[in-house]
Amino acid sequence: MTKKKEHRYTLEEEIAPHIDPRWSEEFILELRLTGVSGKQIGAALAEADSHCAESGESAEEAFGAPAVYARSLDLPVQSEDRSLSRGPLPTVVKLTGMLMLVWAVSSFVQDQPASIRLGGMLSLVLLAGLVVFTMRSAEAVLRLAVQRTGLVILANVLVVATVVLLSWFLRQELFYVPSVLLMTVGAAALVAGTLWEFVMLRNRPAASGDLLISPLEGHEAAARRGAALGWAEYAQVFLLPAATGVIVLLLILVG
Amino acid sequence: MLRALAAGPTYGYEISARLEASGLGKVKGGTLYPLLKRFEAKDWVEVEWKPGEGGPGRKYYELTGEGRWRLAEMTALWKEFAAVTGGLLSESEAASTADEK
Repeated sequence: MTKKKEHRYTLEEEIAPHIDPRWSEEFILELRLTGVSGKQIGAALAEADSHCAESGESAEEAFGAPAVYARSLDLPVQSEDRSLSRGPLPTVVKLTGMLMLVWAVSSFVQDQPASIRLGGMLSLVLLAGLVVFTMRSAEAVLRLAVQRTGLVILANVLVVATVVLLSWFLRQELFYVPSVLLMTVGAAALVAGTLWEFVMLRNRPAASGDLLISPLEGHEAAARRGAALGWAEYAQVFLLPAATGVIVLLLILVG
Repeated sequence: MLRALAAGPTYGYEISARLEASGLGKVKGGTLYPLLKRFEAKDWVEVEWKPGEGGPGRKYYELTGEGRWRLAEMTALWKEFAAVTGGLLSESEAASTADEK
């Protein structure tokens, strides 16, 4: 069994070999954004492919613009929570843990109590608010990310700049906390949040329901795509703690 | 389009070919499949995927009992409409020829 080399249009070409993969990609994207299940998308695309194969027309000729056609099918939308609306709480807990840990480590290394500053607190509130907002309006945000990538990058830069400015200028010390305590709480929050996200990921109802497969494909294709999906999502969960670990290590070594 | 399905289970491309052959002109995929999807959602048709002949697989549609009932209902309505319209037209024809005399 040869392992297919994955490139950008592998999925589109596998399900719809008779359609321009760029048309397929837009078609799939539009349906994903509105929350249609992978199975439904695969079936609709396979039927379109079958039509184009027999009529000899291109997808654009037969169906028109991919996004318009996708919407005209009025496919059912999955109502239960999908991977995006997992609940923002675990992520907020994770983020809080990370920030606490980072705040506390340098003070800990210098054997001093950690001072919680105004700027830091405001940054935390800001980040938490952003996470909640992103998860609540996941579809709108995703659409924006895809269509106006520049805007999203700008937004990210602005957020980082705001956090830095807040931390730099609003240095009023609100209160002191023993470093060890803050570190412990931070580490606990980080671990708890990560585990929570991990468990929610594992227990997601029928993870394969989100897979894009055509009704004509066998189990091999589904298994292959299922595996690929898992990797990306596990990375998503563990990336933040890993990064935090690195930062903490650096702070200890340098401080 | 329900009538095109009445002859027996068929698939998208064949339906558009049948409609074109019966003089309705070219029906685009962009029009055909959303309509088929609506039939499917209303349970007027049953669907089944079958391997194609030397090509990709096809999604076959077949009228359900309710689908046939709908077809019969619409056919009856259409006949009634045609009868009434025909009656009106022949009346107005008679009236205009009477005017001409």
